[in-house]
Amino acid sequence: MKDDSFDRMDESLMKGFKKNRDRKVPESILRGFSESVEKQILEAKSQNTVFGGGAMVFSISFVLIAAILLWQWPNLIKQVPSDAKFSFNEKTAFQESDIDSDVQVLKALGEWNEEDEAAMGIPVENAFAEFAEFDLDINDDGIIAGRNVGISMH
Amino acid sequence: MPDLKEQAEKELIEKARAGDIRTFGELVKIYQERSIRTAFSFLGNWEDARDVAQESFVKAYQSLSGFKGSSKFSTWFYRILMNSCKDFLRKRKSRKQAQFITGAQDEDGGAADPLDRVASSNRNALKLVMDHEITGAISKALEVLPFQQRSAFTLRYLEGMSIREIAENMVLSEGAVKAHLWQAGQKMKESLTGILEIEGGLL
Repeated sequence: MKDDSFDRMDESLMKGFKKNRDRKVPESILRGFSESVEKQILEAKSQNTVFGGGAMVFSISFVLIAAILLWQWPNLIKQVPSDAKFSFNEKTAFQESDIDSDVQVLKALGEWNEEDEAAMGIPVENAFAEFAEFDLDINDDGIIAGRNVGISMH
Repeated sequence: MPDLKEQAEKELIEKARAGDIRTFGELVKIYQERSIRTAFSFLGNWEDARDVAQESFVKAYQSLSGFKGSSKFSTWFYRILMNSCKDFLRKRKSRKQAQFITGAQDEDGGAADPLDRVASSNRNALKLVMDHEITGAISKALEVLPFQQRSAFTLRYLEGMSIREIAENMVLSEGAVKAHLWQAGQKMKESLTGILEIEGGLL
C-alpha cells in the first residue's frame, strides 16, 4: 500500500460517504433517550441494592453459623470416656467376686441353703470356674476369638 | 490549558462520579446523537442502535470510577460503545445461525434458505438503489468485514473521525489503522460496485 494510493482512496471514500455522515438520527429515536438512560441506571442501582443486601445477609448468616459451630465443636462431639471401655475380664471378675461375697453374706445370715445352691446347678464355690477356663482374646480387628480350655459341665 | 468545553465536561464527569445521575444525564445529552449514529453504522437498525447506545451509557456510568481522565471521555466512551456493538453483533449472528439451523423465519419474515436470501438481497439492493437508499447495502457489505476493519471503516467514513482519533479508540498505531482502512476500502469497493456507481459515482 502506497501512501498516495491510500490518500486517494481515503479522499474518495470520505467524499462518497458524506451523505451518510450528515444523516440525522430520527426524532422518534432521540425522544426520551437521556431520561431512559437515567431510569435504567436507577433500576440497576436498586437491583444491586436488593441483591447486594441479600448477599450481605446471607454472608453474615453464614459467618455466624460457622463461628457457632467452631465454638461449640468440642461439645458437639461426644467423646467416649476411657473408663467406659468394656473389659471382659474385668467385668466378669467383678461379677464373680461380687456374687461370691453376696452368697457368703447370705450363708452367714442363714438365708442361703442347699436348695438355692441346687437351683444354681453348680456348687457356689465353682459357680464361675467355667468362665475362668473360657479365655477370650480380642484380636486387632476387634473380633472376639474364643479359646476353649475346657468347660466343666455339672 | 483545556478549553471551556473540556473544562465543563470534566466538571460534569466529576459530579457524575460522585453519584449525581442528573449530571450524567447532561453528558448523555451531549453524546447521545453521535453515539446512536455510530451504533447505527455498526448495526444498520435505529432501534437496535438506540438500545445499544443506552446500554453503553449505563455501563459507562457504572464504571465511571475507572475513568482516570488520561484520555478524552469521548474516546473512553466510544470504546465501551464499540464493545457493546461487537457483543450485539455476535449475539445477532448466533441468533441468525440458530434460525438457519431450525429453519425459522428471520426478522423480516423471509425464508431462511440461503438461495432465497441471495435473491432477496439482490432485489433489496436494486430497490435500495432505485430508492436512493444505500444504507442497507453498506451495512450488508460491512457485515462481512472482520471487526477491526469494520470498526476502522465505520469510524472513518461513516463517523468522520480522524486517523489519530480512531487509533486512540482502537488502541492501535496510526499505521495499523491505515492498513485496516486500506483492506476494508478494497473489499467495500468490490462489494458495492454496481450498486453505488448507479447511485452517483460513490466509489
